[in-house]
Formats: sequence, structure tokens, C-alpha cells
Amino acid sequence: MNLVWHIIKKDFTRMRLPLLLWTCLLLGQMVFCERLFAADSSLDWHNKQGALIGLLVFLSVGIGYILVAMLVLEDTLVGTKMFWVTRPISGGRLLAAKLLGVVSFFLAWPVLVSLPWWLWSGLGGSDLGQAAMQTVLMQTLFVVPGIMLAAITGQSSRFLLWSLVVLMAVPVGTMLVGMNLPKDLARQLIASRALVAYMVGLLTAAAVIWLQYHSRRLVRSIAVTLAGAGVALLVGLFWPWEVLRFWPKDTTQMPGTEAISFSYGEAWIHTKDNRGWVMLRFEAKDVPENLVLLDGSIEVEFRWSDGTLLQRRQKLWTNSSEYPVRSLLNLPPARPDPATEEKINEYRNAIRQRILARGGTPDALSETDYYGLSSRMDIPIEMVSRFTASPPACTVRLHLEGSRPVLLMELPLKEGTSRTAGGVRLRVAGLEVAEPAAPDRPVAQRMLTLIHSQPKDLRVLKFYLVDRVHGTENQLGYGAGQGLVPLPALPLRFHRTVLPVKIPQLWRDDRWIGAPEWLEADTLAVVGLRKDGAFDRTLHTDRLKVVPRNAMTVGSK
Amino acid sequence: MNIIETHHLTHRYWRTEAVHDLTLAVPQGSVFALLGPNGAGKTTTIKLLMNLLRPTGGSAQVLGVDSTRLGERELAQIGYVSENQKLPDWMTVRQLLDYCRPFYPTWDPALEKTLLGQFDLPENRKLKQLSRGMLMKAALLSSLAYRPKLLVLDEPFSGLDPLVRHEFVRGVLEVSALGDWTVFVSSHDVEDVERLADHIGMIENGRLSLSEPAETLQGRFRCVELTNAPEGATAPAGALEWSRAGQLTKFIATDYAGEASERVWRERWPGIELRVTPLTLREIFITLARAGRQQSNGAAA
Repeated sequence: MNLVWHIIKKDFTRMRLPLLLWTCLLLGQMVFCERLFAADSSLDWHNKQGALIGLLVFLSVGIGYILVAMLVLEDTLVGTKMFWVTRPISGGRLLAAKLLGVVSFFLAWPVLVSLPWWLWSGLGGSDLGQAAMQTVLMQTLFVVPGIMLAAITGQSSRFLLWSLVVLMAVPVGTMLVGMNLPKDLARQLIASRALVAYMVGLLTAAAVIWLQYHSRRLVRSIAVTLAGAGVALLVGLFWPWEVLRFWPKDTTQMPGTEAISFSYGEAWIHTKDNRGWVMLRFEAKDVPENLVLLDGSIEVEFRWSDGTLLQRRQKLWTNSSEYPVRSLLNLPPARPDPATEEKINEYRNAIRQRILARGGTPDALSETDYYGLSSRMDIPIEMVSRFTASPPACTVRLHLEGSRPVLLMELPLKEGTSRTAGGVRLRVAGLEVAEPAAPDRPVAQRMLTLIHSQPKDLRVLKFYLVDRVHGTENQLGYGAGQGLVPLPALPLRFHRTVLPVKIPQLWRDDRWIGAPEWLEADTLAVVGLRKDGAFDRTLHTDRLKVVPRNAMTVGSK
Repeated sequence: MNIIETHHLTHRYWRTEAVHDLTLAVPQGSVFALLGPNGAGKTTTIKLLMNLLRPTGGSAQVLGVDSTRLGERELAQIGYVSENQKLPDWMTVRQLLDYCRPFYPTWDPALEKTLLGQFDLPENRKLKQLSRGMLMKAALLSSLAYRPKLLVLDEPFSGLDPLVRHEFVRGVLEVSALGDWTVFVSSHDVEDVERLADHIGMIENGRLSLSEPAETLQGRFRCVELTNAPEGATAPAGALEWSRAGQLTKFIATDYAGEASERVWRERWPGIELRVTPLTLREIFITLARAGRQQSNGAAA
């Protein structure tokens, strides 16, 4: 082992200056990410900063790739002039040294360099683990092909030439496969093929690296490389099994989900461009107050009386109402302004009457324990008429993820305020008057510009305007906003979210006015959703209620 | 005991046979010079011995181990210096020695220091800044300091000026005198190895034309001059470069056995005056090279 470290030490001595330059690129990304939180709030400025960060990420990946090759080529494996072969250094020992070198310089080092910045950005235990994992995975994407190509090219010029060839061949191969895929191929199968082809690529790289270090038989290694590329291409074209479906799932039933009741809704059938789809819809009720259902997956079996069976597996989307955050915010009981409350109820009743007059039902989404779930899947065009003429029996297995809302921070709604908590850094970059008051809009509207990070494990961020005096909260918006870094290379995502802030209104003397001193009194609360568990539920109906969606009018929605 | 043995060793580069059916033995403690013109197959032979190439036929044993299975234990006892080797030229001489040292349990720091002084190498200069002669000396130093059982030198003298060449040879001679080392050296110039070698192998067109102790070789080669040889006298078996100019007939005897040979010649050509002179290794090498070329030209014709 001492000799392995001795070789690593030699490689480090050789590469210390290029590694220093590479480290500067990593640090540069952090510096520019920090600058995102600077005072200037203009979109143009943020876009420029984002582009600069993207450029630094691109450079660090490119230079990292070349440095990996440099590390391997330092003790080349091709030719008969290499120094190490005639010295008491076995291929196994050299491989161990190179792999440890790669792990130290290109996987562990970037994590170590980033660690202080992650801590500064408020990442906690699991966030740190995820950030480290993502960094390592991102680095692996260029490290593995770098080692493999360097192991079979043996010279820097040849390495660069073949890198260009591979860089062109991979998209061309992917495009060729894509052009030859049947149009009705299930997405899961496409994903499975991509995954298996990727695994074939990884195995090929591992085999080639091992062979080169143990025997240096170049012709055989090139043959293995070509065979691996061929197998990956064949997998892309013909792989028949959905491997993703065999992955072990989290089948632990999440506590508190037993009470949730699910029911079938209408299934919508529609066609377009000679292709057919069915959208299954479900309702979930009695969802516990502190639980939020997030998207999941669904396995479906449509069965007709003559034994015809159609199976599908798809993503399941949830269309949730606002989840209750009052308890989370620890708000006192609401003390609404009586005149305003009376006016609002008047409006609500008018809307209900209009819906009832049209024969519809008032919007059930206003109930907070209700969820709409849906999943759209392709069906053969010739089956469309069959779905409508004789609806099949349907059995579904829903797999859903449950999340808990977490209050991440609450801060004054003032320009320049910033806060770091729960892995989120946030700065109120602007709160400008966007639309001044007008005769048809008696109260002005403001635009709130937020610059914030979002760690991977936070599924959704929601922003609330909180009035603790009157015990009210209004959701300003949610979502990630505009991503500021064009490459998904950084474990921290940075966003610029712009939200309209409607100034709280009061009904006074037969007109709406803006609530006085709202800006001083109200705060901004940020709530995130963290995954807490998962659960499965199986539903069956003997006859699916099918509605041809194409025939429906827009108004009937 | 033989340190190196090859049996019908063959290597082909696609259609070209670089080494053909090579069988030789290098005894322990000898200084074996493999001589041959450029392109004869010397470097390929050495690369096969050092496991830099794999044989396409036959086998080679180095330190009792098949050359394709040379491991760390064997390589720790072999020193290799070649004009073809790419040294880590970003290192200084000191860094090269510091890097090599831990791999060799038998590394002798005192010998390293002695050789460093003897070779007059600048410790802190990078290898890429060294002259060719200095570079070869640095390579030699890094291959001698652990007192290898076998020292393999592949064309170590080519491109070196006479002074450096002399120093290099002196260095090898001095260290080989320090212990029971075996040296295997290849060269296209016999002068380089004349002072070193006690065993000679000659290779041409990938084929080994001879392999024997230098003493035996020089003993059996003689330049023979005959005066008054009869008209129509023909060359005896084993004679090379038979020529006649007036009364003087000359040839090179390749199987000279002292008075017995002279008695045979006198009986064959009565009344001749005989003058027998020994050949230098260089003359033997040139004679054999010329004969080999004539033979291959004849075969080609």
C-alpha cells in the first residue's frame, strides 16, 4: 500500500499546478454563485452571472476530463517505451494507484473544496450527503470515459482526437436509435433501454481499464470497446424488458395513510395524430392535515370480458389543493375584518350560484383534505373505440410519496433581507411596484423578486405572505422560478423567483382599499416539502367510466 | 546456470518477422553482447525479454521465469536502460532516484551516491533539460543503484559522443566488477562492446547467426594468407571471403584449431607459405555481417 501512495504522491507532484488551476475553477463557481446574492436584482445581471457560472462549470468539466487523462497517460499503457513496465510495478498496483488518485483528486477533493461553501449555504446532514453524492456522480460522468479512453489511446494527441470522435459518435448513435424506435414504445421501456445501455457502457469501461492494466493487449481492449459500443446500440434498439419495474420499491406503508380513501374518477380518452391516450383520474380524500401527497407511479391493468389485457406503467400526478400551513406557522385564530369578510362571502356565494346554474358542482378543490390524481398513458389507436364502446375492468396499483411541510424561514418583507435555513439561502432582491392603482384595479400590485437556492431533497418551495396581527396567510406562489445556472452540475440549484404580491385589501365605504402599513406588518414565510415516506394502494373497478375527451366542450371541464 | 534462455523465440509485426526462431542462453555472471546491424531484431529481442512485447512463437525465460510472467520480484532484480525508453522527463535527477528507490529493497544509497559523483550528474536538473548522454547516465544510475542481478542495455551507446561513451562503458565495467552481475547489451557497433563482452551473439534479419564466448569466437576466426597456392585451389569448408591476387590467396577461417588446421592446409596445398593472423571482434563482426548479407542476397536472387 505504501508503494501505491508513493505512486499517487508522484502523480500529485506532476499534476499539482493543473490541479490548482482546476480548483480555482471550482472556487470560481462558488464565488459567482455568491455574487448571485449581491444587491443588484436586475434579470439581465442575474442571467449574466448564471451564464458565467455555466461557463465555469463547463470549463471545470472539460479540464477535469483532460486532467484525468493526464493522470492515466503519465504511466501510459500503450506502446513499448513506457518506464513503469520495466520497473517492479505491477499492473494491479498501478491500477490501484491510479484509481485512488482519481478518487482523491477528482471525487473527494471537489467535495472537500465545496464543503465549507455548502455549510455556509445552510446545508444540513442529509443535504450535505446528497450534495456530496451528486458531486461525485457528476464527476464520475467524465472521469470514467476519461480513464477508459486514455487507457487505450496512450498519447495525449490521440486521446483528444478520439475524445472528439466519441463526442460526436454518442449523440449520432443516440439519434440513430431514437429515429428507429417505434412511436408507441412505452416510456418505461425507453428509460430501461437507456439505463441498460448506460450500464453496458460502464461495464465495458471497467473491463477495458482492467484489461489494459493487467495485460496491455491493446487489440483485445479495442475489440472489447467496440463490442461494448455495439451491445449498447443493440440494447437501445431491441432491449425488451422494463428493468425499472423490477427495482425494489419502498413498500413500507407510511404511518397515517391508512385513513386516506381513494376512488376512481372519469377516465378521459382522446386521440391526436393517429395516436390514442387514456387519462385515468382518481380522487383521494381524508388526507391527514400534516401530510402532502406528491407525485408517484401507477401500474394499470385494463381487462375486457373476452380476456384481452392491456398493461401500462406510468407516472402519477397529483393536483393538490393548498395544504394547511396555519399550524405550521403557529398563527393565532384569524380575526378577519368583518366588512371585508362579509364582502368576500358575498362574492363566493355569487360564484357558487353561477356554477350551480350551469349544472356544475362547486369546486371541490377548496377542501384542503382533497387531492386529484391523474395519469396519462398511451394506448393503441385501434383500442380507442373499444374503450368507449365496452369499457374494461381496471385494476390499478398506486404508489405515492408522502411529504411533510416544513417551515424553513420567516423573514421581514423588505428589500435586501436575507436568511439561510434548512439548506435554503434566500435574499429578497426586490419588491417593486409593478402595476399602480387604476380605476379598474383600485389597489396597486407589487412584484417580489427572490434569489434563492433549493437543495435536492426539498421537493417544492412555497412562499406565503403572513399577517400575524390578523392571523392570515396568503400563498404568493410556488415552484422553482427561473434557474440561474444553465448546467445542472452544481449540487445547489439557484433560482430567481418573481412573485406578484397583491397588497392586502379592505372593503371600506363601498370600495377596496389597500391595507395600511401592510408592508411593515407582514412577513414572508417559506415552506418546503420534505419526503417522509411512501405507500401503495390497489383499486379495482369492474367497469371504467370512460368519457371521450375530444368530444367534450371546453366549458364542460 | 543461465540467467536468460530463449527457445525458438519468434515475433511478427503483422507480416514482417522481426525475430525468427531465436534460441540462445546467457550464462550467469557473463557480459553478453548481442550484435547486429540496424533492423536486425536486437531491440525486438530485448523487448520480448522485458515483456514489453509478447512472443508470437517460442518462449523466453528471464531469471528462471517466463518473460510474459515477469513480476515485481523479478523486475526488482533487473536493470533496464534503453535509448527507446521514455523516462518521466518532468522529474529532476534527484526526483527520479527518489521515485525509484522505494520499489527496490536492495537499493544501495552508498552506491547511488558513488555513481552520482562518478557520472557527474546535476541532481536538480530536470531530465528533459539533460543532454542525451546525461540522460542515459541518469537511466543507468537508476538501474544500477539496486545492484540488479541482470542489467539489460539496449543500444545504450548510440548517439553518444566518444567521451560519454567511454565514461558509460567504464561505469558498466566498474559496477560489473562489484559483484556477480550479468549484463545483456545490444549494439550495432562492436567497438562499443569489445571491452565489455565475454559472450557474443550475432543476429541478422531476426536470425541468430552465432552465440558463443568471445574468447572461443576470437580463437576460431583467423585471417589466412597463402603465398604460392596452386592455380585452381578452392576454398576449404568454413572459409569466408576467399580471394586471390597474383600469388597471394586470402581467406577467413571460421574454424581455426591451431597447428592442426595449419597442418591440414599445408597437406592440401603443398609448398605454400602460410601466414595466420588473429582477427579483432570488429573484423569478425564485419566478416559475418558481409557473409550474412551475401547469403540473404543469394537467397533472394
